[in-house]
Amino acid sequence: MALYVDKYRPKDLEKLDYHKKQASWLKGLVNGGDLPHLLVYGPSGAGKKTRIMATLKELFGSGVERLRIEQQVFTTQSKKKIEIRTLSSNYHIEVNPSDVGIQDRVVIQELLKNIAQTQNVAVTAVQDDKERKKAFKVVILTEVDRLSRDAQHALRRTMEKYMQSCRLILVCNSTTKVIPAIRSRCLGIRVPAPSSSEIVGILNYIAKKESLNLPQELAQKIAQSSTGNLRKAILMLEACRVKQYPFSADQDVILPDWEIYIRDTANEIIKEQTPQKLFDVRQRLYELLSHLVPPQLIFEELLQRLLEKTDDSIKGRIIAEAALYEHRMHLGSKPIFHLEGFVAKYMAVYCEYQEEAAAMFD
Amino acid sequence: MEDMEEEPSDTLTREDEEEEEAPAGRSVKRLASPTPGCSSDSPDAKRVRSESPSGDLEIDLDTSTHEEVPPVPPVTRWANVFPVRTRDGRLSLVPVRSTNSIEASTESVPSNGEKLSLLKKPFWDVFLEAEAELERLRQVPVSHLDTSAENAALPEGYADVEETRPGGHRDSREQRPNDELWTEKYKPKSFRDLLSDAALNRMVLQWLKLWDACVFNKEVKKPPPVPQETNERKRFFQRWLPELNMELDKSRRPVQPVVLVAGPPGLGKTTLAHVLARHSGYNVVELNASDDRSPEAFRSALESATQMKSVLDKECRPNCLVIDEIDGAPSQSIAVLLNMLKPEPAAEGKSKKRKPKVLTRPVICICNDPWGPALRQLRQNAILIQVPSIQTQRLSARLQNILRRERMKYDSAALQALAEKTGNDIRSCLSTLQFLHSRKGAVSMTDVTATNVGNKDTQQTLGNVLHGIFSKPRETQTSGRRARSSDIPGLVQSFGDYERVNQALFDTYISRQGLDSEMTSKVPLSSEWLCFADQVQSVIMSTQNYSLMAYGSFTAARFHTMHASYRPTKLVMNNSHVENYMKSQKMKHHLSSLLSSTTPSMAAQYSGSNILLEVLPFVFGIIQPQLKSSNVQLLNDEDRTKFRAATGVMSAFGLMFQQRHIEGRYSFELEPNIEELVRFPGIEQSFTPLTYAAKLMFSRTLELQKVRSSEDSVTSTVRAKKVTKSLAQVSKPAIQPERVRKDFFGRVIKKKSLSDESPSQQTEREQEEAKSESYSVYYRFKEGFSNAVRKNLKIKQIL
Repeated sequence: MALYVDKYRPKDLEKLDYHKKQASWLKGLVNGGDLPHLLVYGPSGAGKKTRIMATLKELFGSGVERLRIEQQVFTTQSKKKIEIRTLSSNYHIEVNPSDVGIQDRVVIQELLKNIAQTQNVAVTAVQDDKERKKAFKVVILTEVDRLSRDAQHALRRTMEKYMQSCRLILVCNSTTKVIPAIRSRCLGIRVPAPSSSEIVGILNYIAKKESLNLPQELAQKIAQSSTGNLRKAILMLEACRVKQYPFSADQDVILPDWEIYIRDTANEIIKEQTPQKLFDVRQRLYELLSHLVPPQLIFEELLQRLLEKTDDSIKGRIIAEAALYEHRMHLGSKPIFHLEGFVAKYMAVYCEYQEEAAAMFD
Repeated sequence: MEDMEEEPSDTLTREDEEEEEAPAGRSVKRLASPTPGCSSDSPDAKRVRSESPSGDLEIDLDTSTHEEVPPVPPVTRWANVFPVRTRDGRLSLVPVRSTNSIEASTESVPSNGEKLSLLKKPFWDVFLEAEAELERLRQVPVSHLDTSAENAALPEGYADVEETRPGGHRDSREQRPNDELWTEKYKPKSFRDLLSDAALNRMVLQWLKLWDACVFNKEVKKPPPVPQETNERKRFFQRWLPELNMELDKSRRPVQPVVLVAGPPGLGKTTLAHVLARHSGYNVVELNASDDRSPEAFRSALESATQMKSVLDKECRPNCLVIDEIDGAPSQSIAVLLNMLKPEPAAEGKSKKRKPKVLTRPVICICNDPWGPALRQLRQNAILIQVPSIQTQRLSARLQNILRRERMKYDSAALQALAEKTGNDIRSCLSTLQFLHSRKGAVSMTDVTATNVGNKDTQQTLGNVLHGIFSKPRETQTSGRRARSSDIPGLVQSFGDYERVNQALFDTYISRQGLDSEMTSKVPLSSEWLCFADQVQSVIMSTQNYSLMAYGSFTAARFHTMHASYRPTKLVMNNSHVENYMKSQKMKHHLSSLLSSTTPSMAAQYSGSNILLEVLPFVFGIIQPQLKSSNVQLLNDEDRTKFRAATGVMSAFGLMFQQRHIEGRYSFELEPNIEELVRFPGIEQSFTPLTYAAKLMFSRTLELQKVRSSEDSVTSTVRAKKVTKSLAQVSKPAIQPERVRKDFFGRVIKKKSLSDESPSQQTEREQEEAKSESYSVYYRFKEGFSNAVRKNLKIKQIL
């Protein structure tokens, strides 16, 4: 028993629910001979991982589903030990190098070398000529957009040098942070988020399988608030079911606490513009950061929520300011300064606007 | 400072009388008693002088002092009499003339500037020296009279500086005016000349006297108890000075065997230590940062200094160790010192050979910052004396005297400004003045403001820096307003750590008052500056481009211009950054322990940030279904499916309910604690939390599942083993040619005759052997392990 998300996850390329054309391309790619390096990108919850696993299954058979977790230890040049968790089957290994932060370069170099310099025994043992073509291991690197520059440069050469014995599948949300040299070495596969109707369809399918009575309004609502994130939608469905069953059409969709917290923070900002309030907001921002919510996400969410309640005349200015502060945040190292800077700026702009509006009425 | 001890209206030069007062006076008497002429208040002094041929001259000088000396106010004001308050509070009047003349007489005897060493010399030696000196003086009568008249114009205490120098030095001064640093030249030579606070001086001296019992084998006289202390006085003592413990320990040492003198540079701490130690009859051994201070070197220096055997030789005085700049010493060296401080162990005489070395001499430690971690142990064993900074007036008066002696024109306001500028640092004042003197022989206000020499480079604390940034300086006559923002960067630079300053600014500025009307101007501007500072900082760190450090201090300057006020600031010293960091580390720990406990099939689908933001908030709800009963057996079908689903999810993520005993109540907590990860304060929980009973049921079921799954894996491996065994048995052992067994040297071993064995046994053996040889090597991947399946195997069975 597991979550609905895992229970109803399609395991084969044929069974994918949407982007079927892409699935057939992938199938052709696998069967057509040599597999290139892949760069799979798309928003979170669009089904990147599902597609990759299905492709691998197509490639190597069900052996890829026998997974094990290993802790690998690497030593940096300065004799610092770094530990990283890898997830592997006999045919592939998956690793998230950005877990180790700034040391990711070492992981990439050592890990890839280790893998690439050993032949895949399980496959070479097979005599079949067609099978022998698959005598490579697959390395899945997730969250490539969080890799440091050094690590990405370390990837370039390895990708060409060890083409014989290993293939890379890079996974990321956006290619903008992947250096062009890598982008050009990979076949880019974009996995767009499912449309709202596709999500509703899947929700209905699951409901039917689970013999739940799902009102269409609720399904729509869930699809709306999931913002194209299928995983989130399915989890929401399950959470709603635990919360209240039988469903009612006007049931509240359960949102993660951090989203609610950001929304409340935005409301606080709108409510009052004083240094005291700014101080309170700072505490809230700290709370979010300490809960490991990425600062960029805080920025995005906060801006969204603020824009919902600001007048059109200053929207442009607010967005420009937000962009400026977010950019600076990436250049700096203390997100809290920049987050608060943005909030202070917003408060200032909002104050000015209100004063102007009051003057107009007078 | 001394105002508080005596009458508030008094100023300056009063310290002379204090010599009569308490321990200082005593010490002089003690050492002076063998020879006449040095005791401070006896008429003997006069007698000695009148015996000497130059007596008339000296008396002339004295009278001239009183007639010609308008610039020193107290002397003229009080004419020939000083009121003195004795220990029990009585006022008594002491004629000035006697003290003056005594000084003149005692100081004029040449004795290498150490008048106390006089006592150690036989009388005739002193007499002969005095004769020689007088002879010399007679040869240069004119110039001598000139300069001595000049000297006489100075207040007491300085007149002796030149005279005490041996051999015609004064004459050469006329020709080569700059042959000596002023800081050396005008260094206080006796207790009376010390510029530092008199009460403090006395306290250190009193402590040194406590050592008399141990060092000189003399009884320590207890000072009479002070019956009535004025409130003011009491407060003063509480503020600056710790209580001196007058008790002695077993080895007759003071209970606190070390004194730790602390204060900013240039206050005369080292001078204080030297003068006092000499005053009490010690030979000063100094150990400072220029010496090797490795633990071994330190130990040997300590031992040689404090445990010298020939302590009271004819010429030798006992040593007093002055450890200067101890805050820079390595902590191991300080540990060596601490070891020696420990009182002698109780078992005496038993092991004389390995008697631990015990400190038997006074040790004075000097440091700038007494709160350093290296000194923590030492602080507990020592009397900590923090030297307050010298009053500006007092310092400038001393400077005036010196300048008068050097015949340099001065302007008293300029001197005061200089004293302020250097932060009342005598040393830097003097060197600045000497520099100016060598240039043009006069000092004026413009010189002082123009010169940069007086600026000090000291380490500031964060509190000081913040205070400087957020408070407007009071207008002083010397420093104009314009100087303000220019010295804030300097202040911050002297602290050094810009990142901490910026963090502290961030924490502090928002809670300042009067910002309400500044929402559109100062507040966003402030945070923008902080953003800028952060960018600069991270560029420096990432590119190692330290030339950008130069811009680090301007944020603080800008904050100063924006937020400084006269209002006293309450500084918030909570470091929100560190707090946040600690918290997020905790969260990271929760997350990583969760990731490591999830099953591989789960881990394949979720990465760290996904699981945190998108999965866990829902999972947290999903594992809390509302059940009507808290007994597994009594659940209805619907609830049972819910329950199964929840436990399934929990085991997939490796979640457990763990019992905690908090404040006498049992409760269940999720382990890894995802509740802490996903919940935010102040948000209504959308799921009703599980009851205690329900959690209990969950935890039991999960435990059961765990046991079962491990049993499953055990049984499956056992089964697999059986299968391989049976396979091995099934495959018939091929009949092999009997192997020829050889021993170690290659000789063939003859088999024991098997004839005595029964044929049935024989066949059994053969079968056994055959079986053991027929086992083929096999390898099985073992997932996890458990003691339950451990089985002893013989190597024979494997091969």
